[in-house]
Amino acid sequence: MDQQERFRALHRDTFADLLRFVERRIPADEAEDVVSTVFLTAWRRFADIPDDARPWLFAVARRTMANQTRGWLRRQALDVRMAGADTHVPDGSTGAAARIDLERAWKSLSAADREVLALVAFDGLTSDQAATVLNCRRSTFAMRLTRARKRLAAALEPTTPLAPVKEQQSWMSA
Amino acid sequence: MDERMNDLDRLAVLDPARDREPTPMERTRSEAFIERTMAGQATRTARPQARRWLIAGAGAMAAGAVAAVAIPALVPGAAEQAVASWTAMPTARTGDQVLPQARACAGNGVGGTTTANPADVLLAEQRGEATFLIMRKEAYLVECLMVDEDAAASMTLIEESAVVAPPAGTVNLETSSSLGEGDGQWSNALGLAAPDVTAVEVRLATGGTVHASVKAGWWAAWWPGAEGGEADGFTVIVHAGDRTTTHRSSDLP
Repeated sequence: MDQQERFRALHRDTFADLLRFVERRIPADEAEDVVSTVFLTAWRRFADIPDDARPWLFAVARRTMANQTRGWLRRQALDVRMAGADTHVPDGSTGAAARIDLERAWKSLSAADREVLALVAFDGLTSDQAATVLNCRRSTFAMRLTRARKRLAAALEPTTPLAPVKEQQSWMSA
Repeated sequence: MDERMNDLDRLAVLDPARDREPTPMERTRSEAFIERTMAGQATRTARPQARRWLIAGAGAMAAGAVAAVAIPALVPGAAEQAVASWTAMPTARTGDQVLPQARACAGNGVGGTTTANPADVLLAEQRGEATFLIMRKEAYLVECLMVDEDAAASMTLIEESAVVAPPAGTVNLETSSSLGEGDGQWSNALGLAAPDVTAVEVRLATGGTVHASVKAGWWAAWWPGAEGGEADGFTVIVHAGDRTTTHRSSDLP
């Protein structure tokens, strides 16, 4: 298969995942431009793309979003959005209560914790892949994930004291 | 996979893109984009350029500019309207006079969403049907070009706390860029101005002079054409009292 065919296959295999990855983090009306920029970068650096292309593309997307949105990044961080609460759970049900607890817990976390959790829970990445996206070591990511999960668990159980863990801020510059 | 334990599985209900699939149109646009990319014809976007405030060309943004986020861009037709009615000499406007436009700019999501007061408007000018303004949005300063209250191009500039007046008699170039194509193509350039700067003109490499607005420590101009996105597409003439200096855009800090 020549390079153009391989690039078309890469696009076919990753476009939907990449669009979802970007739309989780910035408004939908900006996402398509970011995705285009990622594929433009991918074509120019085609020789650099590893076999497991998805984390590499996500990392490019993350840098692209940071460059294109620095103005509000400084204030909001590259945060992961949350689905609207319009989703399909009858009022008063156990599911609805659990959903409210989960939303409250999610909102109580730092943007850095949300990013770490989302890479696994939303984007479906392994720790190795997520470490590639954040440009950190796997062990560093694993540590951040462990801490974020602890804080999520603590937020879901308000009577449990929060573990005194120093925030990780390094992901912004990763 | 091993990392996806119960607590993480539970989070999946919060995923904003959980059921998101690209539409056939999105997929087709993206496929067309990568074909253009491989043919060496791609621009930065799969979408029609006229709908976005794009930073075009290598010299598009000065080093000091913080950000370029454009959420609503001029709708098709508005840019043509702005360009067609453009004047080289602006009419100064006050915050009170442009309050409807300032409120639209404040609410457009670029650099945040706020409500505007007249005092938030640092610089406002009218050229034909288009109102241009630099205004405060909480901690940030943004620029907006409005043809009416519903149609705006907007860009985040810098944090207000990061504003440092240039040395006496000088200006900097915070950003310059161009947007659109054909009859709807326009450029803008702006920067900080020392308190003693009394007037600024932009002389285009393609001919013609644009009188910039100078107010509240800023200078700004926009004009039809592509020069704002080109390296050295214009020179900037700075008047401070009886002293006049001329700078290539690439020489400005």
